[in-house]
Amino acid sequence: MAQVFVLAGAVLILFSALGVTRFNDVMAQMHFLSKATTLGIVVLLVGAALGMDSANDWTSLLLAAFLQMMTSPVSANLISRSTYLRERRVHEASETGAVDDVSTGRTEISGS
Amino acid sequence: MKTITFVVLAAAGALFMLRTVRGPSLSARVIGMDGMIVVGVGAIAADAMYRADGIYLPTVVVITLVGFVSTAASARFIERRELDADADADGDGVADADGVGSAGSAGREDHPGGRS
Repeated sequence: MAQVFVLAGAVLILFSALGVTRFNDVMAQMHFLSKATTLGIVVLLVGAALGMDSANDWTSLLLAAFLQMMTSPVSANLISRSTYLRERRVHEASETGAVDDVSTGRTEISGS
Repeated sequence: MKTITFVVLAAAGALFMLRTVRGPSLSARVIGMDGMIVVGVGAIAADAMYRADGIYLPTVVVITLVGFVSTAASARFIERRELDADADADGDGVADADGVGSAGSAGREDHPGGRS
């Protein structure tokens, strides 16, 4: 039972890795990393906790699963937010920078 | 069952490493590194279950927390690095902060202080 859970979690992590590798958009990759990887690692850790006898061991594994469930959406949100802000800023800089280059060059030439 | 589990985890780690090495942007590399951290946590937990020895299980908790902190720090780095607008001179989404970019260094040498 525990080994089946661990194998299922590992397969879910493999599917997440396939999705992260196949897609080239950062938002699509973050979609896989935040959902499939979280489900896979939680299933794996719960399965490993089912196979443990000592209370110290399975409480550590359940604590790790709980922390993973708490921190994974936060980190996904941070990465997505910083990526979105960076892409928007690069887009604005590419537009306004090109316009500024052309406009300042022409005004400098016509003024002098 | 044990061999299949570890082979699957190794394949997932290899794919995440491929994304880390090949990722076009810094965000893709951070995503790949986060995935590799998750694969490491899963491998340690699976190994502890198969050996019925929980001596490395505090390491699982610590690596989980350190992985979150590293991802948050990387996100702050990605966001903060773009505050200087001339880091990406050619506008391809890859910052030329090291000065060896295609248009960044040449543009600065030709027009000193031109784009401010």
